[in-house]
Amino acid sequence: MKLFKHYFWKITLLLLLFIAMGLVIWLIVNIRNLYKTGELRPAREFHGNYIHTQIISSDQIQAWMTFSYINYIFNLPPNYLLGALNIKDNRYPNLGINQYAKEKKLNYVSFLASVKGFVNQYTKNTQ
Amino acid sequence: MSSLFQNILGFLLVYKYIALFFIAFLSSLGIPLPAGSSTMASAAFASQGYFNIFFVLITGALGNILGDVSMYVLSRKYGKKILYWFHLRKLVESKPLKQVEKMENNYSALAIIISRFQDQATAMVNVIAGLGNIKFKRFVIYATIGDILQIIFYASVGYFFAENWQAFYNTMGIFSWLIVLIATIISILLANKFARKMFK
Repeated sequence: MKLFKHYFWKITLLLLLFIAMGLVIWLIVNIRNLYKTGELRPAREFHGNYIHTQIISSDQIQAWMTFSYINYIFNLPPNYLLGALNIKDNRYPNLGINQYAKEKKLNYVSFLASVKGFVNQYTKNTQ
Repeated sequence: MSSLFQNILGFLLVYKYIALFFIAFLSSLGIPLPAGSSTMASAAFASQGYFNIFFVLITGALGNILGDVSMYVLSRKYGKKILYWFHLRKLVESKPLKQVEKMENNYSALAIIISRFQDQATAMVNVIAGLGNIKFKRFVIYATIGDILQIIFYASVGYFFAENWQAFYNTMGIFSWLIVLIATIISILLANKFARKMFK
């Protein structure tokens, strides 16, 4: 017991260092895997040029996104989604998909799917 | 991605810099909000041209610094009173604690700067700094340096990885725990140094 008390802090420190090293290895492996799979690629060169590493598709639209953000990312006309989805809300386009679906008591999964559908349709038509 | 963070992202997209300021401010006060990840997301939006990167850096840093200073002042003014109220007067007025407070002023820089990289550690260190009576000027300087470094780090990740920032977001959890561990190791090493000096 005395011996344990004497070495308590050293043992604790060693344990913490061991865990820290494990975390460093885990972090490196994680980043390497993400890089290999192509999920983690810098989208910007250090000189400042923006490179689209992934083609942004309508599948990437998520419920937390606002209509304003979607309009900007997909280069949609400001009132395209307003008309297509028949949105009646003064806050449009500064309104989240999830928020709108919740407030209008719509099924948010099908609402999100229809947003994706209209964006997809627009991008296909303009290509 | 947690539903809380999804709600925060929606809030960020609607209220932009005001939202980022409040998230950073409240997080420094100890409210469990993901300030680092919000900065990373805002910088990613800036990379896509939806936000302005300079406003992201300025509002994020301002929110963090003001939150840190507010927590420090509150803790310094009312911290001991609250501890007395919990009948911990003996502990607050004990000799070893007073000596630790004196020495804390000399070794606090590293702990304050490193802790800025982990939201929960930031709030805890702010309270300890206020209770330990670390000099106001010293605290503000170190907290500002730490906050600026933290904002630059998270914003760089978001800005350079742009639409891929979500892949990096999951890895950030491991990174922030690593920071806490390193801070703990440094604290133990410093505590041993204090103890050796005290009992010389």
